[in-house]
Amino acid sequence: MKLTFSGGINENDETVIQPDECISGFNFELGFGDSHKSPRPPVDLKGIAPNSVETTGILQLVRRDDTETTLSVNGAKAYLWDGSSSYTEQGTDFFNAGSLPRAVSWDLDQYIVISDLNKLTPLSQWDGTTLITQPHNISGVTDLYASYAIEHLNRIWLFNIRADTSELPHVILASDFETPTIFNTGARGTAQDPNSVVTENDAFFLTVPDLRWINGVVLFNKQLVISTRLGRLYKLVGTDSTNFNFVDYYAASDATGVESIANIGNDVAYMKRGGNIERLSDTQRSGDVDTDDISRFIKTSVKNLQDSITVYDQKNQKVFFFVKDKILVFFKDMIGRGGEGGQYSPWSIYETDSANLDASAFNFNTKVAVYIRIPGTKIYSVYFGDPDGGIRDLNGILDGDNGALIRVERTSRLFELGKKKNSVTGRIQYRRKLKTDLSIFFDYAETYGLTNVVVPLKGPTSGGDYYNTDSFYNADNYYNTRVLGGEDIATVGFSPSGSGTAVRIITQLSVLNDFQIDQIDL
Amino acid sequence: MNFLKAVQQILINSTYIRGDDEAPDDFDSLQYPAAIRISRNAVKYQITRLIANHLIPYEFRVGEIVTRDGTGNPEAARTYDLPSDFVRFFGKSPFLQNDFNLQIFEFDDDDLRLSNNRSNVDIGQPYAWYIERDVEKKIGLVAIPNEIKRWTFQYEAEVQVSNENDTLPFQSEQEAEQFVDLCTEHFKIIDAGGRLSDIETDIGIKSARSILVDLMRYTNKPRRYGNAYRSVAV
Repeated sequence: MKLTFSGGINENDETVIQPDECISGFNFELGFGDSHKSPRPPVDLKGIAPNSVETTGILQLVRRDDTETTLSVNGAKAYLWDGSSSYTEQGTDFFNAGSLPRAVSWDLDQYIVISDLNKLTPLSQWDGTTLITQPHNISGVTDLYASYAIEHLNRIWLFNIRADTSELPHVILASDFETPTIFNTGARGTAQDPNSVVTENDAFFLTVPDLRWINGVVLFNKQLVISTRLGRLYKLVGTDSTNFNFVDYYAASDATGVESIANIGNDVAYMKRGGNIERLSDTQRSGDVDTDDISRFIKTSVKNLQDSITVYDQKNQKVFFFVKDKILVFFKDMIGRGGEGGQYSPWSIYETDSANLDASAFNFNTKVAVYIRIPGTKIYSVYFGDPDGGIRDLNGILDGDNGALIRVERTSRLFELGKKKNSVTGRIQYRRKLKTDLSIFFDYAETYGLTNVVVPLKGPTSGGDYYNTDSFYNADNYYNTRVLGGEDIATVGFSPSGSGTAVRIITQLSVLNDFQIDQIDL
Repeated sequence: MNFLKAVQQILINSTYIRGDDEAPDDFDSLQYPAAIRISRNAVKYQITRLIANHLIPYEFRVGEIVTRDGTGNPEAARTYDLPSDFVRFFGKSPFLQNDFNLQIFEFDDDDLRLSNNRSNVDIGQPYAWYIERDVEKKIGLVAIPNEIKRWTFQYEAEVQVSNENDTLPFQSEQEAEQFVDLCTEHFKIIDAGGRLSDIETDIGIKSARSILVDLMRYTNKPRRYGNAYRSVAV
């Protein structure tokens, strides 16, 4: 029997799980064409705000000259952050405590418009040097708040707003054409009010047809799609202020959370009531059927989830769903990839090893996660905030999670062993990337035994020639220069105690760096 | 060759360890717990089997007891402990008193007489020994010694191995290696799901054991008439 690691976590009945999927596990990677086991990237701690208050916003402006500025929002303070240890406060206690600021770029004037999911800080703007409250030009309104903002068709659109103390979670504001400093809460779009006096380029407002709270906005496939809480999906139709309107897109989306809906490149993903995660394309094609949920592989892990922060890592083709104490990771390139038994699960889970974690045990519980350009570079990554004022990079390159071991684990489905033997023996093929110990636990059927072996994996071969001095193979011989370090294939055997008619195999490592296990032969 | 080395060799012979694998450093290795256990059992089983059938040189030992003076307190000088590795005496008259070149024999195995002698408090030059029934192996002397003297005796010792560094009970490395081959055959049968009863009927086991015994023989006696004259290849 050969155990490989092509598929992800599949929490359905073991009888339908493919041999190279796993019934549980965490911190492993998946990839199209990959069948090996390797760890997730480490999480690097990139910086800590001077006030050590939880990071609730990471806001980035990229200007036309391809320079960027990044703000870290920690409590009331907004810091200009260089991507490392330099934090410079902008304004003085600019944000109200509890704010969850989010940015949308207004490239025409080279600034970002900052909304606040909690509507505690008025709409703001950052132009790279100054942080100010965004003018809105609404008569009789001092402070304009918006949960969501987006740039679309030459306007800034605001969703789920508050005008001073007046809560309007069902209202959508569209700015004047190419003028995001002019909004109007008095003039309704003509499509919803034929008597309205707005002209094509005027600012206007609309209400969402089901009058529920707007809980998500996403641009997808040239369309602006909005979601209402436990309600419906709507899309924007029309071309100007006289005919813009929101019409039904999908009537039973039941989307939950405030940041669970996201564009994932070729689709829109969102979390439904009950925790299931759906794709818009599946919903359009099949309606509300469980078999089309992308989370159908991880029913247990998503059960009764209420919210997630959904982030699409375009570079690495992953979708991250930040939920309590972990991240559900959807590998897009695994869509449609399958073995003989059907499609492989495209899911992994990222966790932290609390027992070994550094003092700031973030456990992936965060108030903000964004796909942004790494400050000072042209490379993009997923950054997220932690409870102690830190900002962390999900695609880290350092040793471990800021020095803490990353525990990687997979539990296979049950494999029949046939005739009960006196012992199980096996052999592992791996790459000599990292010197570490691999623990393999054997969960035997019938005997209910759980035994384990600890198999030492060797590190990279030393530099130079493998067969060298005093050897048959020497310099100038056929066997000389080594293959690339870390890619050397090696095998190692093991022989656990116990026996049974069937067995589950649990592989477990705690590592600081990358490793690769190709297969396990039993 | 010691016990650990033998187990390593069994794992190598049976291809558990190959390529750039490292052999386990000790019996507590968590990499091959099952294979190590089966190997250890194979070694111990085969040693037991061997010494039960044959006397092997490693079993011979010379021990000694130093008698005590029983004058005034006979019971304190009646019995003497035997070595912890003692299995049985070698020969019928094992005890030798070097000063007098004196040998003594086992007391006639008559329980009545023996019990009489156990209560005997005669003191003098010992002229017989008997097995003292006790939880540990020991002998008693008749008569009870009245002076301190050194007595030597030959015995068959326990040669089973238990610790990693215990030396296998063979005189040459060649014998030890052949013994490991025998144990490898044993290992393969058990590892493949066989039972102990399969061991003694296996042709591989029989062959390996007979080669081992041949190696241990001090003389090369022809095993059948005319053998050497028919073919050198036989």
